[in-house]
Amino acid sequence: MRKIGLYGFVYVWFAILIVLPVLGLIVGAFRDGAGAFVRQLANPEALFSLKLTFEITGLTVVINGVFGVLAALVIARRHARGWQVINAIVDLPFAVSPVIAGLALILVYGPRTWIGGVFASAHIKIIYAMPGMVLATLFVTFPFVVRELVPVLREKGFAQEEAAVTLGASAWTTFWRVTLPGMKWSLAYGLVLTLARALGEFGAVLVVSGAVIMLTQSATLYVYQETVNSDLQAAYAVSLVLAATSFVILMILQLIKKRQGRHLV
Amino acid sequence: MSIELRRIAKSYTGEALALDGVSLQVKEGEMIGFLGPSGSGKTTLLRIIAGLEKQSAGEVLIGGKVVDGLPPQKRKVGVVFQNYALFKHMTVYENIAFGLKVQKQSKKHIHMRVMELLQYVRLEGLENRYPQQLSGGQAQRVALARALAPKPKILLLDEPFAAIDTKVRRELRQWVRDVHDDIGITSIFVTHDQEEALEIADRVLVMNRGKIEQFGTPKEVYEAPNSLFVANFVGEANHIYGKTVDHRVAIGEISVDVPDKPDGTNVHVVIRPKDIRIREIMSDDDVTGEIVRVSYKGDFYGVDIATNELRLHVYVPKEQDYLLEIGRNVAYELTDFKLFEERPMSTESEVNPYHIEIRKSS
Repeated sequence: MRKIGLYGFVYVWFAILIVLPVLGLIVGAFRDGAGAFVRQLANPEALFSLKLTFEITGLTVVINGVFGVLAALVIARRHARGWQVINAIVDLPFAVSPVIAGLALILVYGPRTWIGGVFASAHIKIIYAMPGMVLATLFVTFPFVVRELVPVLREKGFAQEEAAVTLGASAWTTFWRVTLPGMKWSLAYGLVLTLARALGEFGAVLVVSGAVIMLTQSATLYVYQETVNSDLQAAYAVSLVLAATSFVILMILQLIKKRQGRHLV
Repeated sequence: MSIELRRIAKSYTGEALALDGVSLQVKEGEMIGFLGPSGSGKTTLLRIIAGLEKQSAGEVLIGGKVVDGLPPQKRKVGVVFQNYALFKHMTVYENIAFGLKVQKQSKKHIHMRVMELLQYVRLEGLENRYPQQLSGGQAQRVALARALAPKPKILLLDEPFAAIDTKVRRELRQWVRDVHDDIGITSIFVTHDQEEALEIADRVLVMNRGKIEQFGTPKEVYEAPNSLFVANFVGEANHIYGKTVDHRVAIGEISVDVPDKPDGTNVHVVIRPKDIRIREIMSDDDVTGEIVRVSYKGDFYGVDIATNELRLHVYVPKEQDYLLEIGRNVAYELTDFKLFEERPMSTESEVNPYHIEIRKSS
C-alpha cells in the first residue's frame, strides 16, 4: 500500500512539474484557434527569430558534436597530457550562470577589447552579432556530448580499437568503423540534449546579442519580449514550436533506436 | 616467423620497471606460453611484440628484422585479446571480414575466406549473429578466426581461455594447439594458469616482476625448476623450511644430504607430490604418516599424509587405492626433491593449495 502511495506521488509530482505546464502551453497557443496560431508564427519577427535560433542550434550541434567527441576521447583515453585539466574545465559551463558566461565573452571578444579589435579591423563582428551568439550557445552546451560519451568510452575500453589496428586498420578507419559506431547512441543522445539546450538558451545569448529585432533576436528572446509586451499569444506560439522541436527529435531518436534492434549498445 | 627480443625494458613513469631486460628467441612454428602471476609483465611483453605498446629500451625482431619502427598494422601479427574485443556492432561475418575489408580485397574473395574460416572454426550458420548472442567458446573462436583472416605470420593470444568454463576451456586449448600445428604459425599465449602452459606450449617462459625466471620445455620447467619462484609457481608442491645441520636437513623424520651447503643455512625444500611414494609399513625403520585426506583425481589420487611434524601432499597411482583409508598409517619415501636457499617468497599460496609451512627447530 505504501508503495502505491509513493508511486502515486511520483505521478502527481510529474503532473505538477511537467505535464500541466506543457498542457498550458498548448492550450495557450491554440486558445484563439489554429488560424491565430499560424498567423502568430507567420509574423516576420517571429519567423526571423525562429530561423536565427535554428541556425545557431544547427551550428552548435555540429561544432559541439565534433569537439565534444574529441574532448571525450582525450579525457577517456587519458593519453594526452593534461586530460585532467580538460576533464575539470568541461563542467564549468554547468557551474557558471549563462549570464556570467555571456559577460565573459564580451570581456574577451567585445568591440573594445584587443581580440575584438583585431576581428573588427577584418570587418568581422563577434559580439552583438551571430558569431557571438553561436559562441555563447557553444559554451553553454559544451558539456552535454562530453559527459554522455566519457563514461561510455571508459567502460567500453579500447580493446576493440586495438583489435582493429592489429587487423591492419588505420587510425582513421578505426575511428569511423569501430569507435564511432560503438558510441553512436550515446553521441546521438548527447546531441539531442545539446540541441534542446541550444534551442532554449536565453541568458548567455541575451547578454552577447543585444537582442536587436530582426537582427540578433533569437526565438527565446522574442518570446521574452512578447511576454513583456503582454502579447502572450505570440509568446505561446513560438514557445510551442521550440518545445515541440526538441520533443519530436527525442521521440525520433527513441524510435530509430528501437527499430535498429537490441544488439546495439 | 621467428621472434627475437633483445634486452626489452619497459618503465612507466613513477613505477617500478614493468620489464627489466628481457631477451629471448622463439623459433618459427613454435608455440610459447608466457606464464607468470599478474603484474609479472607477461601481457606487456606480448603487447610490445604486437606493437600496441612501445618498449623503453631494447629491440624486437620478427623474422630476423627489427620491427620497432613498424606500427601494429604492418607487423603481420594476429592478436586474440582477453575477452576477445569483438566488434559489438558487427555480425560474426563482419567481424571476421574486417581485416580483409581494410585491405580492400574483393567482395568475392572476402566472402570465400570468411566462409572458409567459419567452417574451420566450426561456426557455420552463426555468421549473422552479433557477439552478444554467442557463448564464451563461440566468441573465442570468432576472435581466433578474425585474427587469422588476414593470414598473419604470428599469432598472439592474451589470456585466451580465462573467461571460459573449465570443461570447454580444456577442449578449446587442445583445439587451439591443433590450429597452430595445422596452419604452421608461430604462436605466443599469455596465461597465469600453469596447467594450461604446460599442456599446450612447446616451451614455457616463466616470468616474475618483469624478469625471466626460466625459459624451457614444460618438462624442464616442471622437473628442473631453476629458482624457488618457478618451483612454486609451476605445479603443485610441498614446501618445507629447515636449517642445515652436519650437511643434512630434516624433512619430517627423513633427513637428506646437502653436502654443498654450510651448516646453519636456511633452506627451502620443494617436493612434488609425485616425488613421494607410499607403501604398506614393513619394518620398524619405516618412516610413517597417517592418511588424513583423499581426493579422487581420475588417474590418480591426491592424498594428504600427516606425520609428526608436517603434512605432505602425495599423488598416489590408482593401483594403490587399497592403501587409501582415512586414519591408516602408511610408510612414505622421497624419490626426489629440490632444495633452495631460503629467500622471501610471494604469490605461492594461491597457486599451491598444498603449501605447507613448518619451521623446524633444530
